[in-house]
Amino acid sequence: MKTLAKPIEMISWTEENGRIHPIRFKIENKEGVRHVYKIAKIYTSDLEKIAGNKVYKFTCEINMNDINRICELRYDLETCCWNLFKL
Amino acid sequence: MDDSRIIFHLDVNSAYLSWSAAYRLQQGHKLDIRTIPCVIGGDEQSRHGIVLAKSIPAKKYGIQTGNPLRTALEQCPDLMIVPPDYHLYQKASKAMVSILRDYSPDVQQFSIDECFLDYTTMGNLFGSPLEAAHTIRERVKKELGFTINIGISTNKLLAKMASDFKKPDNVHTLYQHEIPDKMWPLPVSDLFMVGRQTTKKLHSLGILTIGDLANTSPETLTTHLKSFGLMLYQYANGIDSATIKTSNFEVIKGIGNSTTVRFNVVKAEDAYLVLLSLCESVAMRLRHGNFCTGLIAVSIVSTEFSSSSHQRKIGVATDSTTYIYHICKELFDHLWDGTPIRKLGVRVTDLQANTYFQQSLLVQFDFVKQKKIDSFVDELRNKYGRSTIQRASFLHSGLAPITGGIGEDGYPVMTSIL
Repeated sequence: MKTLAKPIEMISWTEENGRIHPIRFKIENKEGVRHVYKIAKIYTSDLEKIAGNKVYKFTCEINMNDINRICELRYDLETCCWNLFKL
Repeated sequence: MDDSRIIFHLDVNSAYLSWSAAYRLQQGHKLDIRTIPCVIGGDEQSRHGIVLAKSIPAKKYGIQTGNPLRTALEQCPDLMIVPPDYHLYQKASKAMVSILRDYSPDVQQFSIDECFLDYTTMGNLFGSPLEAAHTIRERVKKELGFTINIGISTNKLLAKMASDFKKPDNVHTLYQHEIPDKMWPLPVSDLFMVGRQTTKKLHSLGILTIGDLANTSPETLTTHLKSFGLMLYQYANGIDSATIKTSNFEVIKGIGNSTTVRFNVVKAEDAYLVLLSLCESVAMRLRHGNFCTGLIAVSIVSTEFSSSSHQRKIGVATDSTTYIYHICKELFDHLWDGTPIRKLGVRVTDLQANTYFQQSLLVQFDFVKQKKIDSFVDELRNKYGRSTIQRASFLHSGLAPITGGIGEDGYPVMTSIL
């Protein structure tokens, strides 16, 4: 997977215990066209605390141009921002 | 000598740089700034900027912490400069302390990047001190993304000296029996609490290594350096009884703030404004601590780096910003000889309780009215921020109306008391 670290808009749902599940996200490509991708499967979700900064990492499967691709999504708890980290 | 304790000293390697490096990687930057000549420093554009931390490749160019960025860039034109992020450093420090608390209930955050840990009774849970230290070191590296050095011994002083041996990412021991081999050959300036001036004095006494210091008679050291000399003798012999302080609350002896100005101060009016801005923060801290001051000092550092100071004991202990400022102005006028100034400082000591106020017939100053103004201004600033209200003389002056400090609440500042 290639590192992109691209900011995205995200719709997610959160359980009562605080566990977050990403559902689908919108991303702008190089030409400025915006696509929505649905998260088909979440393989792993981990909390990373590098330098004390808490970030949730999700390894997910999405369908892009009829191909199933693995990507890594990250949610920074401090800024509350989602980004497509790796694709 | 209490040899029954086991104390760890943990020191983050190149803290600011490592933390910024780890954070940048987490945010998606491809380059690890630890692997290239890079420094953490202030704003490159403005004059404000010194090297706060450097990477190992930067060291090879002779760049030193504390040097101005301009000098560093002359030494290495391709140097990368990353501004500091104190909020991040506080988080990184807290995260490290949080991990340490898994290994002992007695953890002392000594500074933003150093901790002491009492491992005396934890051996049954986590193995030998060496095993535990390596476990901690690896865990911090894996979970938090930066490396630390750990020093192990029977007291804080020796543990702190040990963590300073070969870096990075290492564990060192310095038990009593290892002192002659590991500590005594070191130059005396490496001993904790020995700075530039003390080194000079010790060199003039023929003391060049820590071993020389340890084998000098305490009487000689006390003659030349008084009680400090005795402390140095004890430190050189590995004697230190300081306990792990789980709370960092100490009795405050004085409150001060200083600032390096963006331009050379050549006019008294500019100096007065800077002093006023310092008095604002010092007096605010004074009132916050419920103190009054009986002694006010002003210090200046010229563009040639020569420093001087002047102080006065005042008859009426006060916590009034304006009154302290008036005294500072007088002190400054006595002190200044006209040489351009780079840095100014205001410090108040002889702290007393502010439960009552002693009126003086000799002083023409409306303390009661000023107290009301001060407390109102403090309330506004605490509620809405430091920049909410300012004195009119700062308008269009180009100077900040309140200066001093790092600006982050609860930033653990390093002390020199073990």
